[in-house]
Amino acid sequence: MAETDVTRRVIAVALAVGALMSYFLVGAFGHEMMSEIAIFSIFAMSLDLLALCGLVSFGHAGFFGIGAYAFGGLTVLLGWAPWAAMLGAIMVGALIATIAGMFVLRTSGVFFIMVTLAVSLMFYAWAFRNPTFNGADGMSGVPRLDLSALGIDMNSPGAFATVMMLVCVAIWVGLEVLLGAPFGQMLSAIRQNANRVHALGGNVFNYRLAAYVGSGAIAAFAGTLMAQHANFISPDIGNWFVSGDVLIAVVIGGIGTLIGPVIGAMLFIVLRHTLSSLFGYWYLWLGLVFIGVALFMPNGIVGAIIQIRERLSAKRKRERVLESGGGG
Amino acid sequence: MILGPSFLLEQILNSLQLAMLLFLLTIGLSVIFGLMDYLNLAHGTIYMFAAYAALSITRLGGSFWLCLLLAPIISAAIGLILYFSLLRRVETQSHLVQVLLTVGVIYVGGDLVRLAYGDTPNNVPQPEILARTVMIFGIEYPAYRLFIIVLGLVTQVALYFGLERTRLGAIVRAGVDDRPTVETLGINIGLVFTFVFGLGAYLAGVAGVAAAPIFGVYPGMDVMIIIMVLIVVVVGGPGSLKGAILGSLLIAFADTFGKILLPQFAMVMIYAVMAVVLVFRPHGLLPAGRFRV
Repeated sequence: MAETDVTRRVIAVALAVGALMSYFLVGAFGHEMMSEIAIFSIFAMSLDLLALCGLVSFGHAGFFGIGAYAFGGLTVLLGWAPWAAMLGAIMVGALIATIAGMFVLRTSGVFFIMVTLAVSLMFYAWAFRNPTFNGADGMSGVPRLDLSALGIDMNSPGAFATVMMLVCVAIWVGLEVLLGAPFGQMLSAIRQNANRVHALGGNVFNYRLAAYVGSGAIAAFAGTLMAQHANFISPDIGNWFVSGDVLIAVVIGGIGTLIGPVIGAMLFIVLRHTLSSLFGYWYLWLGLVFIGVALFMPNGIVGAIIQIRERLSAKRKRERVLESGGGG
Repeated sequence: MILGPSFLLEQILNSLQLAMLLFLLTIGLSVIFGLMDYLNLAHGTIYMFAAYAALSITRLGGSFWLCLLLAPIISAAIGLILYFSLLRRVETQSHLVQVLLTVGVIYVGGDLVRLAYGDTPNNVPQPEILARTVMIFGIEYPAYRLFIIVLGLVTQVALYFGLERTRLGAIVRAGVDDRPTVETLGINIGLVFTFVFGLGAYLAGVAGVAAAPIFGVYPGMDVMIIIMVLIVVVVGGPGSLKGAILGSLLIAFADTFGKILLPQFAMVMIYAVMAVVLVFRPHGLLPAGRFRV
């Protein structure tokens, strides 16, 4: 639906303008939060890529963690340059996704949810026990990308936030192009009716595997950014509740809408920050927000906006038909 | 570590006891999922509420047996209130919306018990008559844990006869296999579902009371258990009694013996078992009709 695409892109542009405006309004702490939102958005978009072909993962933090740990290991332990370590970490993420994908993609639905959780917790348990990475204590001193050649000081919160947001926009544009390309259309077709795609001669497994690997690689990339943002890695980055957080961000924003997960990520981080500073028992309020979204916006925020727009345009069409009918 | 026969026997009994608790929790979730395709993550919250209800009854001077009588009724009532006020509204939505809603319920429920009872773990004492050990197969074993095994076995037998030998059980089984056909035959499946939901919440309450003296009563016990229960559901295969029994046995044994034999992998043992089972049987070991492919 072209109209839906327009709606999604209008929302994206509005969001970018809003981000730009708030960038000049907030201080250093705000910039830290904006970096976090941008990184979490990339992570959420990677999960949405997988959702595009009808698969919901409850273990995506595994790839987030794998990216962060590969980056931390390559830079701190092996002394690689951060840019090379980022490329390396993405490759590691893609490789592990390929191997894991061969197994987990045999399942679907709720079984897929659980088996992806299992895979991510295996990473968590490995990181928790690994003496090289200081086990449960984690490892600090993870460096940031050196962009001093471009005159950018990545250690300043403002500059780091700017780069993160530009990267986030780049990932969004890339995935948006992918969505419109034959590959993205094929993934949508698989989500709508995998049996029919199979009957028409499409290789459902290969497309799903490609989506899983791409999604794992982007999540690992987001993980490398998170490690740089915090200058620190610990096993908790791959824990199940991080998988839950990102999944909930995607559902709140609107699954399968690509910009929805960005809105969801933003809302999630802003809500968590605001509620935890306002209330002692803030999970209560977060829970109430989840319940409200589930009851009143089951397709998420972007889904709800798209629905309203569709209803309005349908109404306009009806009125036009009535007018022309009355005239003749 | 001595892996002598008496040690082994004790661990087998411990596994059985854990399996029975897991079974009591799983069967409700599994049949609800099988019958209505509903993923109710708040099932663990109902279990936690029952444990806290038992705590309150104990503090008011009630005995353990009063807890076992009242708390499951309270949890069934809470479950049904939750179902009619919230859960039912997203019945026709995707699993993800159900997950979002029930995770919301988990968060609200968790903070409500923190508000009412504080953050610290609490203890519910064992009933006096069972607070001792008995000789079984030549070893001393806590009578209370034995009681849980018996409780689970009795429930399994009762549910087996209920599902296999009664009209209502036949309707439930038929509903899991092919809901539209059952509805076409003029059966009010919504009413049956309400009953099943209430019974599932009741059994979760029984598990909550039974677990309280062993694991303690604390905020977060709901999330701890729900992940394990979900694993049991998918390993056993959703919607079937035999699947729930087999799944809970397998996961309980994997958990107990994983901690003894491979302590460094204890955390991932049950996940590894699940992953292996699902790779070879993508719909669980003994799934009910609809999930069999």
